[in-house]
Amino acid sequence: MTEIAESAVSRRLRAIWATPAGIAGSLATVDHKTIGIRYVVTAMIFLILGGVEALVMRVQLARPDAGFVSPQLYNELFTMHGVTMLFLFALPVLSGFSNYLWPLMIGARDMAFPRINAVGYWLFVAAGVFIYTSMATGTMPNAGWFNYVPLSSARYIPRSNIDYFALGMIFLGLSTTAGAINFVVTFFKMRAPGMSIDRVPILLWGTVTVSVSILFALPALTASCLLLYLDRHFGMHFFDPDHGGQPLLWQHLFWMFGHPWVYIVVLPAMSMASDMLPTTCRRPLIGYTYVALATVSVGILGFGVWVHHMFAVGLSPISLSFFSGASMAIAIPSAVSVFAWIATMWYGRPVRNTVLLFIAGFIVLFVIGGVDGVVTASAPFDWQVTDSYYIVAHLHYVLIGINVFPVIAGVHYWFPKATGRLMSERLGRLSFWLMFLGFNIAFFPMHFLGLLGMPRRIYTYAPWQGWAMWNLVATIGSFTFALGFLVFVINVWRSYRKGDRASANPWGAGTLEWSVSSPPPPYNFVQIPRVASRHPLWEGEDDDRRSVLDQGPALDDGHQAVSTTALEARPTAILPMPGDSLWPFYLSVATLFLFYGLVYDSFVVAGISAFAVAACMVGWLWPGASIAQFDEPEEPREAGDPPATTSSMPMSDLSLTPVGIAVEPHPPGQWAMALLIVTEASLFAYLLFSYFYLDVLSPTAWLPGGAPALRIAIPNTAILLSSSVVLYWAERRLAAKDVTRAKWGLMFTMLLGALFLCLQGVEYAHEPFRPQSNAYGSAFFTITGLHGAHVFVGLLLLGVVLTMLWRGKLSSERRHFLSNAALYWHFVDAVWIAVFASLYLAPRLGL
Amino acid sequence: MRVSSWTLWLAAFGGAVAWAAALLIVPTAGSVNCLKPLSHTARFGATWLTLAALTGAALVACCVALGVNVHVLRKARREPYADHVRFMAFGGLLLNVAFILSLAFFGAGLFLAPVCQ
Repeated sequence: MTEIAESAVSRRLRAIWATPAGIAGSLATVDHKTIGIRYVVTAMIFLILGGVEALVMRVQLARPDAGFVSPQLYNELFTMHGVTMLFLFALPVLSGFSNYLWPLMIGARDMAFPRINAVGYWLFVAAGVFIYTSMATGTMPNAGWFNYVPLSSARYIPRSNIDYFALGMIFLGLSTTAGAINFVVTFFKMRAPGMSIDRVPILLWGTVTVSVSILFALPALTASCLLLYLDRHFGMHFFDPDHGGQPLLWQHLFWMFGHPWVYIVVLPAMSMASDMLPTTCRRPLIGYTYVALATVSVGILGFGVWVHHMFAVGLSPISLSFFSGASMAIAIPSAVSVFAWIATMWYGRPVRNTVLLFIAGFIVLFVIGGVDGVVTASAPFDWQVTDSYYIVAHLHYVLIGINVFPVIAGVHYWFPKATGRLMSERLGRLSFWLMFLGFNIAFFPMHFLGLLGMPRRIYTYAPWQGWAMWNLVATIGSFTFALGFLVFVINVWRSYRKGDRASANPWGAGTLEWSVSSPPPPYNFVQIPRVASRHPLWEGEDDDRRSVLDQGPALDDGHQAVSTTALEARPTAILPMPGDSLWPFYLSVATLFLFYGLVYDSFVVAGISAFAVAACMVGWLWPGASIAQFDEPEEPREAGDPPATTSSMPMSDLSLTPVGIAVEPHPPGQWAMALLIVTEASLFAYLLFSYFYLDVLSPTAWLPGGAPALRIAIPNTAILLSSSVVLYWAERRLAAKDVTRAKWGLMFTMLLGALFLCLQGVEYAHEPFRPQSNAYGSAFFTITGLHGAHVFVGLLLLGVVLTMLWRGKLSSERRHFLSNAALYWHFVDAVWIAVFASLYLAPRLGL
Repeated sequence: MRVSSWTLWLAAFGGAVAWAAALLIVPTAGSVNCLKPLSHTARFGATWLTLAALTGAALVACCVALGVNVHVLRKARREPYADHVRFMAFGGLLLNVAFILSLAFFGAGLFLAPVCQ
């Protein structure tokens, strides 16, 4: 291809993919690079806020009997510090890196769902604003980041402090779930042709592992916060032992989420180190397969250790032994990664730059944090140090050591790619040493303080307790660490303005993101690459298989991306991608006001906002809108047909790849719906777990009025299940091009769904108990009510599908949207079977 | 060679699923039974047998998954374009070994610690 032709393609691609200038363009952009950078910058702002809160606490603790802050403010500070660092910094910053890097690393034009990517970011910002609104109203969350009941119940904290926490977590969960689904689908569907599953960068393994973990773990937090909100605002009794509730239920639900979360916020950071190390050591990572597996196994094992946070509450020996064993086992895959990094450095030729310094620092801190953590897997030792400063030391070694240090290394490493400028090495080294020394001076003495008996979360202590010296040392260390971070921020600012210009590949790295200019163009790659190894830029002339980076098709007919198979990355279709949109932004703003309405029981505000949210979603999906999935399908190409785009170079099977979502057997939307169902199923599983947990442990009569009546429930169950049959029939009719009957089938399904909801309302009116009667009533109405809400959402979804059908947007070839809605509807029906069996039948069977 | 994606995924994560199921069911069943009358707390009584059977079932599932991985790995050994198959099977093999060890460790706990206090 000549230079002139290439620049013409580039110009066309730029016109297609570039974000328009101005505020509207900025709010509407779905460019993964812009969103990634926004994530990182916003998370860093939250890091600074959380850091300032920590410094205020350290000033208070620097000497005994200090009065720098009041006990109440101290409670708020340590809670906000934890919430900010864990939820508003640690994961979002990693999401930022992954958002920015993933499509560049896998040779894609964008993430699988660019608009969901945008809504994920805006919801994150809105949730952060929501949580920090509590600062302005003087009601910051104040029961610690794990917010134990009964302290967080309305009896002890009646103001809205805890509501900001509970609702803020649910709010933030929407963003996190959207991001997780997007990452999983991108991982399995959007890799460049040839990038089989054994060739993906480790960062992808880390992020996809945590994304899957999020889908299973986050619903536990959502469930616990929902139950707490209902207890506080609607007089329910999930955590109230006087009415059959159990405070320990909170701990179980919270830590089912909480411990996987610890791995969720470190695994991608560890993976970033695994991807940076080969470049800084000038050799491929030793034990790629083992590191990838270690990453996956840590993610799985992370679910088996939640109870080690509860060793002190009194558990059966069998539970202690199981969870103690699992907690120790998790050290094994972690150690595999450490040995792989050390071996890579040992056998490589390390370049001693700032990136390597931060990675080396991270490995040291990881080992210290791992060793001081694994000993707490032993229950007797854990009993001694639980809730002491030893745990504070351990969790900071883990979270700062394994999250912040690799993140700073990552900023130094990928800054040239994102900005086109190199960071200052001199300032980088200075910031490393200040941060590394400051961190150890601040947190290592906390081990001693814990062993000396200093409990966490006390706002002051007496001089005779002997904790003053180490506390002073820790405070000096924390300010030194903060100074190091300040130097880092200055370095970023200075380098962004006048750093040396960076070439496309200033480090001589081997992965795909370094094959494009710095900063990358809006379309990422002029031509879709074909990958043949883990390091396409390090392939030699005499390698058997060589990647092809500059001869693929340009796909310059519109917003298009290649969809590939999950394992082999064989091209299956060229998919139309959605463009910029303001709906994600509007949706986030409406959701913010919905949550403001809920926190202050202003149901008028909440109702109007809920309507706005629904309107935004309908607007987003409206068939008349220019969403690409509704473009007319193209016929699959055959051998001999012209290639996918006129300007593309022919390249093996890609030029034969059919265009359009209709030809994709498992389109990304179907994957996303399946993943949404996974996370929703987890939510119901946690709620049913809560139901049975309360049932078993209830100190009072569990069914005060007897089991719920079946005279309405049985016919109602039949109605709902028959609706699934009708919908299946409607799907078959559409497949058979019988659009009229498909419409009737859809309408009848909706009618049955609406009838189910009405009968559910009748049943509610006739039940002898209310949600406020006892924990059973609370559980019954919450679980069936949430299921009813799902039926309502299903009806809305079917309504949109029906509208599409009326407007001729669906056909026998293009019925994916109906298939997705049907999948959701069948899932809702399946949930009802579980609910019916648990709530109606189990009590009659004596379970 | 023809190996379906589903076989590869199930074989790779079969042990993990079995382990996770054991994780959810065994301690829960143990805790629930421990709340019942004292007859259930006998060292090798009905509760113990239930837990041992559940753990054993999980172990069997892990071993089956391991066997599938070994089989796939042997079949794919000399295939020219099966790197991804070998990767999945080898990964599954290691994962299943890890979860077999984990379950064996837990099974040993059944003999060493009382089920209920």
